[in-house]
Amino acid sequence: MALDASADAEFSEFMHARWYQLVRLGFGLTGDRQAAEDLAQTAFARAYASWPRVRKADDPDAYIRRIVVNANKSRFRKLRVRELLTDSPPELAAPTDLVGQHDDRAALIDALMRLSCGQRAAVVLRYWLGLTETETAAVLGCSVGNVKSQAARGLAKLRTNAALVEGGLL
Amino acid sequence: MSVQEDQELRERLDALLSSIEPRPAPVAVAMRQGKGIRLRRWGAAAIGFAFVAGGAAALPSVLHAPRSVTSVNAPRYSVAVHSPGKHASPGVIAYGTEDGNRWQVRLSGPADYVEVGGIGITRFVAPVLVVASDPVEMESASGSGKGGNVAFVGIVRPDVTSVALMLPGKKEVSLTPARYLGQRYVAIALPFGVPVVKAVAYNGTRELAYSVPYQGTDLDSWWRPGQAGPPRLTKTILAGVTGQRAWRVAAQFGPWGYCFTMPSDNACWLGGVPVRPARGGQVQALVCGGATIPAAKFASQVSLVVVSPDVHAVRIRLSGGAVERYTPVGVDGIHVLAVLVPHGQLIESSTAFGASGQLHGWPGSLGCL
Repeated sequence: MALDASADAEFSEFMHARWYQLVRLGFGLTGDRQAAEDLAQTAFARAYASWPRVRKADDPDAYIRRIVVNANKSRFRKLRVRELLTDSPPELAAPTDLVGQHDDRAALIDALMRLSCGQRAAVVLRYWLGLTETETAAVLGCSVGNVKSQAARGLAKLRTNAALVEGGLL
Repeated sequence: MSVQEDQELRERLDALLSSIEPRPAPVAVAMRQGKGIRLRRWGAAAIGFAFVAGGAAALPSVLHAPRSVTSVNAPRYSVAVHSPGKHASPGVIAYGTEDGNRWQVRLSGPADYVEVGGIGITRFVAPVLVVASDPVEMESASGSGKGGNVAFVGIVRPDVTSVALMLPGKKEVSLTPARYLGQRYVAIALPFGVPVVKAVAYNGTRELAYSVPYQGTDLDSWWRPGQAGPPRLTKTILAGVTGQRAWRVAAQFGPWGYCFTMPSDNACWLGGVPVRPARGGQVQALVCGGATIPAAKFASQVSLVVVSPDVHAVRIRLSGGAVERYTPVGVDGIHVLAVLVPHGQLIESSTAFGASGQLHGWPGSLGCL
């Protein structure tokens, strides 16, 4: 059931090298550090479950980023289902990293959270993680044109955000 | 946007967000969870934790004749599912209606990363692997359609010729696999809020296995005909009151398998994967994950731990200085405890105690890194 030791070591190296970036991606998508770490951890767990396939993938980085983006989408979908099907609705995680300490960061995250899922993912991947349009398209599973329009709309919306403009952040 | 503007924006975003300092990469936890996912895919029975049973009589036998087209009409919902015809577009697995709304499930992408889309279906990623004792690996997602629907897509084992879904009101629909890139898939969309009561995989008219979802959408554990799964029980593992709001971590065992529910939601942790009793002197962390305690300002973590029967208590020292003692709870022959790790803290050390004193202590995080 377990992978061999060399595969485990390879996975460990892979995860160590990408953990920080994946959490940052998750944070950009969720605005919540705990949720970001959970997303990244989920992505790596799924990657480990399919490690023989992932290690051979043309672009393992795109693969794992895509898991994070999709896991973030399904996180909300599943919450929605569960709210209807159970007697006790789930508590949504508090946006813990918005509280207090970093006002600028909180303002930016708040602005990001006001974007649509697709716009947010495009902005975070393109301008935060610094991926090219082609790489972003590979992660999001859409065309380069779609990335361009989503990112442009997202940026335009950020630029109309009063808190960011007044704070001189954008 | 010019290249210079592009670069400036990137630098500003980077500067603003560089202060995010995640915890160290939880490699061991990810590997354990990954193994859990594989266990789920490869079949839980091989773990040697079979709850074979005399409970066959308690399970309603579902007689079934595979059909390629099934319609269900009930007072409160209606579902129809059809197999794609010979001239259907590539990738179409099934189509039909839910509450009169038309849907079509169409797969796309390479064999190792199959995406689900179509008409009236939200996009999500399909499972791509099914082996050993699980006849179907099913994924679901909600979101599209007029009133919102829940789409199910499952990859089936080669010997599965149909999958029957039992729905509320003793209704049943039959799903016939369709091919996509050499694999066989089934699919359906149900009206939002209509749960699956039970799923049964067939080879012809022979029942291969059945699954009972924990919450109507998660088909995590499959059992052979006549096999009953763990006995149905609910037991509180850890409870508390925060800001006058009660919360608990609970074991929810039943025909869906082994689930643990957290204060933050009623989702099935561990996905029904069997939990093995720990051996003499052992303390084994199963999983650690975020759990929002109601009324608490920050999300906490909860570590689920299985201990051997000779462990009567576990003392936990937290990085904040607090020392707490946890007593294991017996659940169906398994001794389990849940450790609450407040936001921003770590488990510094743990010590297990038996009837006659300390058994052993160890530094470590119990999975909460």
